[in-house]
Amino acid sequence: MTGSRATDTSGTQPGSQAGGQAGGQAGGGEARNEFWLEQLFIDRVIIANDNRSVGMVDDIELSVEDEPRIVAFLCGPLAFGARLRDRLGLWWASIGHRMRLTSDDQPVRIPVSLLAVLDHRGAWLSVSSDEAGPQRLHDWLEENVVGRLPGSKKKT
Amino acid sequence: MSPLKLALGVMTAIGGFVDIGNLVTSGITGARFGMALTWAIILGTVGMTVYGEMAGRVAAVGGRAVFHSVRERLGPRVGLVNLTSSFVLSLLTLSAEIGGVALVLQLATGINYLLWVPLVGLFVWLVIYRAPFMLIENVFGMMGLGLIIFIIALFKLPVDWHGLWVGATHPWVPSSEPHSTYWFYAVSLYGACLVPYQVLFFSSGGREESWTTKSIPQMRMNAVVGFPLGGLLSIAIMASMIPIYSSLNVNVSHLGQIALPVAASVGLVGLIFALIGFFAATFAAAAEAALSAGYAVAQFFGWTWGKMHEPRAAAQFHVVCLASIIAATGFILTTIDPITVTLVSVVLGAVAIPLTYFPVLVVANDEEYMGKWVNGRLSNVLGSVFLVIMVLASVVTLPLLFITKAGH
Repeated sequence: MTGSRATDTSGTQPGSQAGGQAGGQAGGGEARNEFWLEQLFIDRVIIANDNRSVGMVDDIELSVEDEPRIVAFLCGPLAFGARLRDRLGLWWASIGHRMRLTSDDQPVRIPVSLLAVLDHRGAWLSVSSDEAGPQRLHDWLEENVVGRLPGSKKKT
Repeated sequence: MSPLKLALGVMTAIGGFVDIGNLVTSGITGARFGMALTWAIILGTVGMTVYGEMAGRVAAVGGRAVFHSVRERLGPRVGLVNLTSSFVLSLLTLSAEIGGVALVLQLATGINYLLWVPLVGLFVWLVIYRAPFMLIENVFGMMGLGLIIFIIALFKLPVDWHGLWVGATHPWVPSSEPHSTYWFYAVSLYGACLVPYQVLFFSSGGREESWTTKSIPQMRMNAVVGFPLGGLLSIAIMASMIPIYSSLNVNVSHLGQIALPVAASVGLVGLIFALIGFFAATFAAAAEAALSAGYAVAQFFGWTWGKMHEPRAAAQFHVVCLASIIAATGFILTTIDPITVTLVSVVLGAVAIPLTYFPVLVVANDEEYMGKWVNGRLSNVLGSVFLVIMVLASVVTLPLLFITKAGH
């Protein structure tokens, strides 16, 4: 979560519940309402209703309100690069940036409105992987490499 | 669970336990150290049984993949280091297995192994791309039982059984060998039993076969009965070298030399069984190592993975598997000696074992994931003891590799 969007947005909300997610601390939970975002969401796999993985939760996006709500999960190389920090993180994110079709530098966004169930195994969406948004690396490899091989549409 | 199905699972686990690493290290050490290093096989086998059972339980209960847990538990940076080393080792193991399959084909046909290497690579990829997952486990696991011929050979060879027992129970360093080589080969035997990709493969394979908690008894039988019997096969291979090589000053460095005790005692039919066993064991391990390379990367980045999906749905996973096979095939085609690659891969594997085994121990202890299937005291005591051994072995291995110049 370090230097992440979620921290930036929630940082404008002093005392918000989401403010207590600083990494590494044990979840002692002095205040009853306090929860640890990293334990709840980060590094959960996001699975569409066709059982295909869409990504891993690298970050979350909060709304700017008095009581911020989680509005989206962020994933992909831009969100992962931000977590790696240092030069490696910059390098990672810039590769992700170059692979983007558009020039904006926003990570892949999965709105929480698509979420059906959240459990210890992952975040389960109510839509298919196609409806969850484009996955550039997957789509490119599917179209240009694996999709061209005979038998790529058949299960074994 | 029908007894027949249980037996099938155990038999495939026996065949699946042995790979090129076990064949080479058991062969070399039997010829050179007699039975003095039996303890290292037993140690590695017990470790594999403990952690294999844990990984299988995690797969059956948690429905979570090992590298999801690696990333969650170790964080992105340490997780990435873990992923990189596991991936590189899977590549090295894959290279050794592909080289091993090609060497077996050279033994069987007389055609140079380098000509076989690209075909083996292609065949491994075809199996991963098209063949059902069960085929890899069952067909090759059963064919791997051909190695039982080494036990039969032991009864036909002029074996000094009392001498074998004395050798195995008196694990002293032979006066002809320096301590460093003794310990180097001890690590190689232990590393051949505890290959880093194996826990990843078992847990992901459990998902491929849609295991549930109902699969746990079968999985436990495979681990608790199948693996030790696989370890016994490794010991039999080691023992069968002694009547042939102990009086000669010969260093075993070819697969043909490892098959010689069978050919000398059981004859041509025995040799055919041994070669079928060699082929199946190395080929299945090649497919498993390539799949594991794909599992690790795809799970870490949250991509769709596994043969349970149509290949195009798991496009990144299949590309990682394919690229790994191409890289490993190219590496063996540089004419580097596959036996050396095998030895280095099991020893470097011993360095990296804690990386993939530790997260399994952590997750198997997590009640949130495991519920009533959380680790009991026995698993935890054994798991912790082995973790200490794994870390110790990991620390001493690189110095041993350099001091002994890979066992020379």
